[in-house]
Amino acid sequence: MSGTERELLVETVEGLLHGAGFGDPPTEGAAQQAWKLFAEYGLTLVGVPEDRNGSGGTFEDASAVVRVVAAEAGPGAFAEALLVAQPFQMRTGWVPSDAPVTFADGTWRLDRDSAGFTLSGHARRVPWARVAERIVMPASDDAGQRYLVEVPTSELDVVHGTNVADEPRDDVAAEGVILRDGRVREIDDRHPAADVEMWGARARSVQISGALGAVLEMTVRYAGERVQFGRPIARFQAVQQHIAALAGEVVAARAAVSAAVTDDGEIDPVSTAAAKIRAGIAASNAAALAHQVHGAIGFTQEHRLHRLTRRLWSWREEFGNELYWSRRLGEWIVERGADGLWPLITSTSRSVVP
Amino acid sequence: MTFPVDEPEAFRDTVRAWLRTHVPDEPLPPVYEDRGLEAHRAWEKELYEAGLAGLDWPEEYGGLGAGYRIQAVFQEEYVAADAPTRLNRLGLGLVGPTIIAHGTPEQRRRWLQPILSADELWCQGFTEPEAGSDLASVRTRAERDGDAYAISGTKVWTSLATYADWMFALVRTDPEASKHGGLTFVLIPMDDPGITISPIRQLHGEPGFAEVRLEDVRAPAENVVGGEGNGWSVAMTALSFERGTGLGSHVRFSRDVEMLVELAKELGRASDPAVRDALTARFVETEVFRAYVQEVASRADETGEPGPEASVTKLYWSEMESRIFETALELLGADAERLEHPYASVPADLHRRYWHARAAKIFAGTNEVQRNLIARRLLGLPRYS
Repeated sequence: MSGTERELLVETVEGLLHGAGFGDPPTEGAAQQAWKLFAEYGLTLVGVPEDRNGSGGTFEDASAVVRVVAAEAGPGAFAEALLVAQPFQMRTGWVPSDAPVTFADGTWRLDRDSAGFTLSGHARRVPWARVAERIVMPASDDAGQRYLVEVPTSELDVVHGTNVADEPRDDVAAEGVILRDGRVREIDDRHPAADVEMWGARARSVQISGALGAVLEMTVRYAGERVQFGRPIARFQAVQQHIAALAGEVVAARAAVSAAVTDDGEIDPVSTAAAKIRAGIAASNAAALAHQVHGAIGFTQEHRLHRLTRRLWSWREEFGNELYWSRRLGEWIVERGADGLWPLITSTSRSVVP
Repeated sequence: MTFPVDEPEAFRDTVRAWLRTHVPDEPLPPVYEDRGLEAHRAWEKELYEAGLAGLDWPEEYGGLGAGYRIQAVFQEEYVAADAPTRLNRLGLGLVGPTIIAHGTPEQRRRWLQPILSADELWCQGFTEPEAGSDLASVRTRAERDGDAYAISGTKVWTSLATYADWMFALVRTDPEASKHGGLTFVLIPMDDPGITISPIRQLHGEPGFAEVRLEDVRAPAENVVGGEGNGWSVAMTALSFERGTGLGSHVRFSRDVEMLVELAKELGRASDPAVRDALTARFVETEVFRAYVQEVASRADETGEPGPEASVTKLYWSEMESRIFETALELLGADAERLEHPYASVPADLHRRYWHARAAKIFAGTNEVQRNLIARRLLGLPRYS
C-alpha cells in the first residue's frame, strides 16, 4: 500500500470509530458492531492477500489499522485477529473469513481416533473470546506433535473475565470436545504459533504505540485549553517539561515498535522483545505524565483520558512485561558473548537468537 | 483511661492498649455503603468518649494539647492496629483548628464541640471547575443580604458532600477588590434547599466525590470566620493543616514495603537481582521518610506550627507511594491486571491504591505547586513568573 493509500486507510478507520461513538466500558455489543462495520469496509481482512479472499495490504498496513483502533480506544479483537490469528491461519494455508476471530494461547491437547479429533484443555484470559465466532489455538498430542487448531467458539466453554481496562479477557476450556466444524493442521517449530508469545507481545506493542499518540495529543490539547493563573497551563515550564518527557516516550516507543513491525510480518525476536520493553516503559511513564498534566479532571470516569491510560496499563502487562522481556533479551545477548553484541545492535538484518 | 501526653512512650503504651480493646475485629462497612456512615460515626464517638478526638486541640477546647511527636505516636499506633478510616478528618483536622486559630469566642463555642463529638460532619468547599491550583480565582459569589449572605456558585471535588452537615467554603465577597483581597471564609449549611449535589465518578470507582451547586444559599453573617475579606489567609491556614506533616503515615508505607517483600517471596522472585534492587530502593525510601517526618514533627513541636516542610513531606510520600505500587504491579506481571488475585500477600485493594497513589500527586496541592513552595519558602528562590 502506498503512503497515500495508507493515509486513506487510517482516515477511514478513524472516521468509522468517530462516527460510531463507542462508549466505555467496551461492551460485547459494541465490539460486534465495530467488527461488522469494519467487515463491511474490508478492514478486517487487511494484510490478507486478495487472492486469499482478503483486502490486500501488508502486515504493516494491518498494524496501521490496529494502531488507530487503539488510539480511539475502540472495542474488539482487531489486534488479535489482524496481527496474530489471521497471520497464523494464512501460514497454515487456511483462508481467513471475515467472522470475528481471536486466539487462545494456553494448554491444549488434541487426541485423534476413528471419529476424528478431540480437543481438551484451557486458556486463561483469552482476549474477546465471548465475541469471537472462531478461536485459533496451538495444541499438542501425546506424541508431542504440534498442531494449529481453529474451533468455533460455540463448541467451547467460556467464562467471562476482564482486564483493568474492562476489556473482555475470558477463560476458555474444553473437555474432550469432538471437533465437528474445526480445522486442524500439523505444524512444526518454524510455524509462528510456536512463538505465540512474541506475536502477542508485538501486537500489544503496536496497540500501545497507538494509544500513546492519542494520549500525547489529548495532553497537549488540554494544556493549551486549561487556564489557571491567567494563562493556559501549557505556558508553565513544569507542564512543558512533563509534555516534553511524554513526547520523548512516545517517539522512542514508536521507533522501537516500527523496527519490530516488518512488511511480511515475520518476527525478529530481538526487535520484538525491545519493542515490548520500550513500549511498556513508555506506557507507564506516559500515562503518569498525562494524568499529572490533566490534574483532577483526568481522574474522572467522564473524561476520556482513563479509557486510554487503563488500556496502556493493561497492555503493558499482557504477553510479558518489561521485566520478563528484559530477562529474555538479556539471556540472548549474554549467550552471544561479547563479540556478538556490537553486530546485534548495529545489524539491519534479522537476528537469530539461540 | 488517661493518656499521658508528656511522655511519648507511656502514651504509646496506653494508646496501644486502648486500641487493642476497642478496634472492631471486623472491618467496618465502607462509609458509602449501607450502615457504613453510622458505623464510622459511632467509631468517631468512641474515640471522642475516650478523649482521643482532637488530640492536638488545646485543652480548653476539649483536646489533649498534644504536640506533633505525640500525634505521630498516635498515628503510628492507629495504623498498626488497622483501626477504621477516619470519618471526621475535615472537622478535627481542618476546620476545627482553623476556627480555633481564626474564630471568635462565640464561634469556638458554637462549632468546636459538635466537631469533637462527630455530631456534625464537614466537607470542604474550595476547588471550583475554573479554580483548581489557582484557588484564589474562585468565583462563588457571596452577597450580603441583611444579616446573611446569599451564596451562588459551584464547588467541585467535594469529598463527603452527601453526608456533610456543613461546608467550610472560600467565596468571593468583593469582586472589585484584588483577586486575593475580596475573599471570605464562610460556613455553609448543607441542608439549604439551594444546594444540589451531583456525584462525580472517579476512574477507579471510588465513591465520595461530588460537584456541589449553590443557588442562592443562605449563611448567617456570624458564619464568617476571620472577618469579611480575610478569606485568603484563613484558607491558607486551613490548607497548611491539610498538607499536614505526614505524621505517622510512614507506618503505612513501611507495611506496604513489607507487602512487596512477601509478594516477591510468594512469587519466587526474591533472588532476582532486578527485584531486589527495586525492593531495597523502596525500603530505603520509606526509612528516609520515617526519619524525615520524625524530625519534622520534633521541629514543629519547637516552633509550634507545621512549617513549609509539609510541602516536602507531601511531595515525597506521594511519589514514593506511586513507586511502591508501580513495583507491586511490575512484580505481578501479567497477573497484575487480574482483578482477583490468587496470591495471599496481595491486598484486595491493590489496584485502587495504585490509582489513588496517582491522585495523591494531584490533590492537596499538586506536586508542581509543592515544588514552587519548596523553592520559595525553603530554598529562598525567587518567585516563579
